[in-house]
Amino acid sequence: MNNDLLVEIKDLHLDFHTFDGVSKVLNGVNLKIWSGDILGLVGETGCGKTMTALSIPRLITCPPGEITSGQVFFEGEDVLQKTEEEIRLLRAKKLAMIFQDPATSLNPVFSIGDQMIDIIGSRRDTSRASRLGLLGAFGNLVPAIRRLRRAAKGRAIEMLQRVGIGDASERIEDYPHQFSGGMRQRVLIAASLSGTPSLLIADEPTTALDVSIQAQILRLIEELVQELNLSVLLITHNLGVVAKMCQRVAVMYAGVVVECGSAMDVFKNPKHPYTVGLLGAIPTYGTKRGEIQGIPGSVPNFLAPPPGCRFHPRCEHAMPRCAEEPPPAPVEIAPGHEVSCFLYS
Amino acid sequence: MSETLLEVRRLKKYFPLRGGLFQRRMGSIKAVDGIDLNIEPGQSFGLVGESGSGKTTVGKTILRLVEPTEGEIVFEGQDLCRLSESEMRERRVDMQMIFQDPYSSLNPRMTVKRIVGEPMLIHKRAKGRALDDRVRELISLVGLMKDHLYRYPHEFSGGQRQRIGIARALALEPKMLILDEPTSALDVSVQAQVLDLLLELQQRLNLTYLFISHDLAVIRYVCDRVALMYMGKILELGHVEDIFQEPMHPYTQALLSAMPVADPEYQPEEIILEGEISTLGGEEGTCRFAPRCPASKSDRCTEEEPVLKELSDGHLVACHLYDGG
Repeated sequence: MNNDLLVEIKDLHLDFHTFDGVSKVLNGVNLKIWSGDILGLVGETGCGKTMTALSIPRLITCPPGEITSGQVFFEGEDVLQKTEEEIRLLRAKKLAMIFQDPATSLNPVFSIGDQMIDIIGSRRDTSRASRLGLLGAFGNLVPAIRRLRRAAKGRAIEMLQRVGIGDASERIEDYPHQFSGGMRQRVLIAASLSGTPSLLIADEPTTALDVSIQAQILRLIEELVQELNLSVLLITHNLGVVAKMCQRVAVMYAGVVVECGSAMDVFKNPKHPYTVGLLGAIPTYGTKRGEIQGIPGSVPNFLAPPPGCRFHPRCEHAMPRCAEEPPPAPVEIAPGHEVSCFLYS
Repeated sequence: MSETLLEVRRLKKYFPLRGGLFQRRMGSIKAVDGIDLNIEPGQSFGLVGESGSGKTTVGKTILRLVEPTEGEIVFEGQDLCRLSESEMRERRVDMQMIFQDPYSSLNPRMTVKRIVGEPMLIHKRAKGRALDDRVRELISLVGLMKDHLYRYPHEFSGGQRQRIGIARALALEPKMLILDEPTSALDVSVQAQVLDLLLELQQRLNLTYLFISHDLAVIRYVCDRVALMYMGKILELGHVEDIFQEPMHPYTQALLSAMPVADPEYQPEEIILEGEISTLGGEEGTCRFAPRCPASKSDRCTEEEPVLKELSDGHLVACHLYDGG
C-alpha cells in the first residue's frame, strides 16, 4: 500500500437509530486523503459530509450512531479498533479540527487562555494533563504545575500571535464574547493547531463569516498548511471555496461519494449527473439570467431512501437498473478521477 | 429617466445604545446613516454588504417595521413617514416582505392554507369560496401542489417553505417585494430553483424587487442595479454590469476579488482586507472605510466624508480617489 496514504475510508456504513426508525446516513463511503493533500468534501446539507469527517477521529456518538461495516485507516492503523486512550492521544496529537460556528465551539464562561491551556495540556499523556487541572487555582502553588501551566500559556500566546491576533498576551485573558466571529475562528485555529497535527479537518470553517473575513481565514489556513506541512479535509457546500483552496474534490450525495478527482477534472469535466447538476445550479462570474438550473426534487428521506442509486429519482439519465441495483463501485475514468455511476461502468 | 416607484431620501436609523446607571442613553448605533436610493417599477434593485452594514435595517425601515429616525420614503409619490399607523397598514398591501429564514417566518401551528390565506382575511380581500380559489391559484403559482394545502410547515423542506413564504407575500397582489436574503438558508440546487421562480414571477406579475443579500453572485444574477453598503452608508451604486466589470470603490474591488468563484482556472488576484467592520458606526466626518482601505493614502479620507458622485451614466461612487483629490 502507498505509504503516503494518510487516511483511507473503506466502504463505511453508518446508521443512526431514531424514534422513527433506522436512518442510513452513510451508505458505503470510500475516501482517500494523501499526505499533503487539500481535499474538498462537497455536498448539500444532510448528505453526510460531517459524519464522514467525524468518523476519522471516531467522534460519532454510539448509540444512537452505529458503524455497521467498513474501515477507517489513519496512518495505516484502523481507527475503529483502537482503545479509548489510544484514540484520545491520536485526536490530541495527530488531528486538528475546526468547526463551522466558532461561537459554540468555545466555552463562554472560561477565558480563551484557560481553554487553550487545557487543550495544550491534554496533548500530553493523561497523568500530566490531569495535573494541570489538579487543585484548580491552588495548583499554582505547586511549582511543577505552575511550570507546566506557564509553558502551556507561552505556547498559547505564540499560537495566537501566529494566527494574527495582535497583543495576544493581553487578549488571552478575554472571554469568547469579546471576540468577533472572524477572531473566534482564529482562536479555534490556534487552539487546534497548537499540537503537532498531521491532518486538519475543517468543517465549514468560513460559512458563518462575511466574504472579506472568509478571505482572511482561508488565506491563514493556506499559510499554516504550508508552514506546518498539514493535510486538510475541507468540508464545505461552497464550490467557490473548494475551487480556490483544493487540489482534489470529493462530491457526496445522500451518504455516498459519487465523484472524486482533481479539482480541475471535477469542475471542468464533471461526469456524475449530480455533479453536473450542482455545478449548473450556481451563478458564477458572468452567468446570464436563465442559465442556471436547479436540480428538480429534493434530498431523499434517509429513513426510507430510494432503492438502488439514491440519486435516481432526481437524475435525468436514470435507467431502469439505477432503481434496482446499488450503484457500482467507483470507476476510474481518468487518472485519479473516479465516478460511481452506471453511465460509466 | 423613467418614473420611480420607490424613492428613499436621506434615510437614517439610529438605535440608542444604553448602559450605565438606569440604562441611560450612552450614544447611538448608526445602522443606516443617510442613504438615498430610487427604484423604478419592474426593476430589481440589489442591496449588498457584509453583516452589520445596515442592509436589513434599510429593508425594514422602508416598510416602517422599524421607525426611521429621519428621512423620507416616497412610494408612488406618497411619503410613507407621514402616514399614521392604520394608513401605513393599508399601504403595506403594496409592499410585502420575504424573510431569510423559512423555518422561523412561518407559524408552525397553521396549515399552508391558513398561512397563505391570512393576509387576504386581514385585509378583507376575499373569503369563503373566493378565498379558497385564490389560495389554490397562489399555491400553483409558486410551484406547490393542491395536496400541500392542509399540511403544516414542518412537513416541508427549506425550499418549499420559502415558496410558501413567497405565496403569502403575493396574496395581496403587491407591487413591490422586499426580499431579505431569500436564498441564504437554502442549498445551492434549491437556491437555483427559488431564484428562477422569483425571476419568472417578476416577469409575469410585473413586480419590483428590493433584493437584500450578501451573496454577490446571486445579486449579479438577479438584479438590474445594485448598491453597496458599508456601515450604514452607500459606497457605490450603479448598474450591475458596470459595478461587476469595473468596480471603482476600493471596497467593491476587494469584495469582488475575495468572492470565491467555482472555477479552478479563474482565480483572480485577491485583495485581502485587513480588520473587520465595526458595528458601532464610524466617526463623523471621515470615510467609514478608511481604517481598512488598501488605497487610503490622503489625509482627506480621515478629515472629510466622501459623498456619492456620479462618475459615468448612473454609476455613483463615494470615494476621495475620484473627486479630484
